[in-house]
Amino acid sequence: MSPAFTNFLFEAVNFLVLAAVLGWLLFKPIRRALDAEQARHAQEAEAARHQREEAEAVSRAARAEREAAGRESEERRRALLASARDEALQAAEAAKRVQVEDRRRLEKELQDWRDASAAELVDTIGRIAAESVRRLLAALDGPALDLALVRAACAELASVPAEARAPASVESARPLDARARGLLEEVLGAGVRERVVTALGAGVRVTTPAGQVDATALSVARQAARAVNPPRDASGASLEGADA
Amino acid sequence: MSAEVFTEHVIVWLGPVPLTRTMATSVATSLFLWGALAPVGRAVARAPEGRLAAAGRLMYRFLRDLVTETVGHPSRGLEVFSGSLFLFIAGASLLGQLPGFAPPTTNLAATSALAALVFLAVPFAGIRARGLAGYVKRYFQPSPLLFPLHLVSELSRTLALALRLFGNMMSGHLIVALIVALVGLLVPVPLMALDLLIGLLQAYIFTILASVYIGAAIRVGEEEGA
Repeated sequence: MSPAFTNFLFEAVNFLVLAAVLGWLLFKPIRRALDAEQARHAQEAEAARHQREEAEAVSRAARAEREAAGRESEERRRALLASARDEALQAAEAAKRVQVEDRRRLEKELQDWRDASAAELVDTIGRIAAESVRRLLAALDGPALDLALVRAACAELASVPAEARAPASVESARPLDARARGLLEEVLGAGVRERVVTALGAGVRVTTPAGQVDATALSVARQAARAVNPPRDASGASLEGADA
Repeated sequence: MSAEVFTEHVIVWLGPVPLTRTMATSVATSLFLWGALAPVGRAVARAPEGRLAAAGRLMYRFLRDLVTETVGHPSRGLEVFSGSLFLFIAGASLLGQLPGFAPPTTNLAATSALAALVFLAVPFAGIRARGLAGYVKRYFQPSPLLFPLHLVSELSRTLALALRLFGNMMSGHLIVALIVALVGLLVPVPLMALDLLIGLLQAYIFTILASVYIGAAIRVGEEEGA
């Protein structure tokens, strides 16, 4: 047998045997190990995938809960905002009402104070006017003033019918002089009763059945005070017109 | 180191059967591979966390990736065949660096045997993948007139496999042997390293080409079957 041919056949058989032995002793254990490792990896990958799915489900649930909580929180926030807005509006309305009431009260108090001040001022002015007239008449006090006042009383008595003038009584601050008495007798006739009332200041006050004619300094001062501060009714309206 | 080109050094005749030096080195290479790689398999099975097991898994994963890229999917038979080819050629090249040891791949009969195995593995894998008729039909496509060319292609590439491996291994080994014979022990060390590198490269090339040839037969069959 040719050595080359024998060698050829032997090499082929040797290699096949070597391949079989290596396949059995080397490649097979390694392949098994790799397959097991691959299977383990696949199993771990499957477990990881399963865990990931569970985690994703948990994540979805958590996201849904978070969204629900967010919606609820938003609704609560809106409700609280609406409630706060209403409360603020009500508080503003209440404050506005209180402010209006306070304003009205203050305006009323101011008006009352004004009215009181005005009344006090008018009263003061009236008193001042009366005092001024009284002082003026006191400064003018004398027979001439008495005579002038008697003339004024006579002029007023002249408008009263003659039958209504008697009997008349005359009150004067001082005893009347002859000239003044004469003027009165011309109007009232003889028999005039006289009485001295010093509080009258000056002038005369004649009382007839038709009424009383007051031409005294006291009366003039009262009239001056009344002119400045006319009497008013309960509503504050002047009674001067009614008197007239 | 020793080199005998185109001759078969018969050690002993066992009747009509000669026991050559190449046969002895082939057996030695096989025994070396068994002894060196069996612990790796045991380590992978028993101590998968060790370095030896990691190296074994890395090597096999590289082989599986190579086959998967070639065929399109893992193929156990091709993985074993291609891995054995690589380990045998690389182991022979490694042992060839020992003094007085001629790797079997420096013998044309040995490389021809390996190429012939590849040549036979191609139709075996193709027929297994698509059946006999389907595989034979491949030689008549796209035109029956191309059958001779297909046949020549199969034979020529087998021949090229055998001659490429033989030429590269033999030449490198011969050069190193000549340098050793001329200048001594230390000077040829770089050339020995280069020879080893060439041996590993040739192992890789032979394995790649064998995988491509076998994978093409499997892939074509599967693509047509699909």
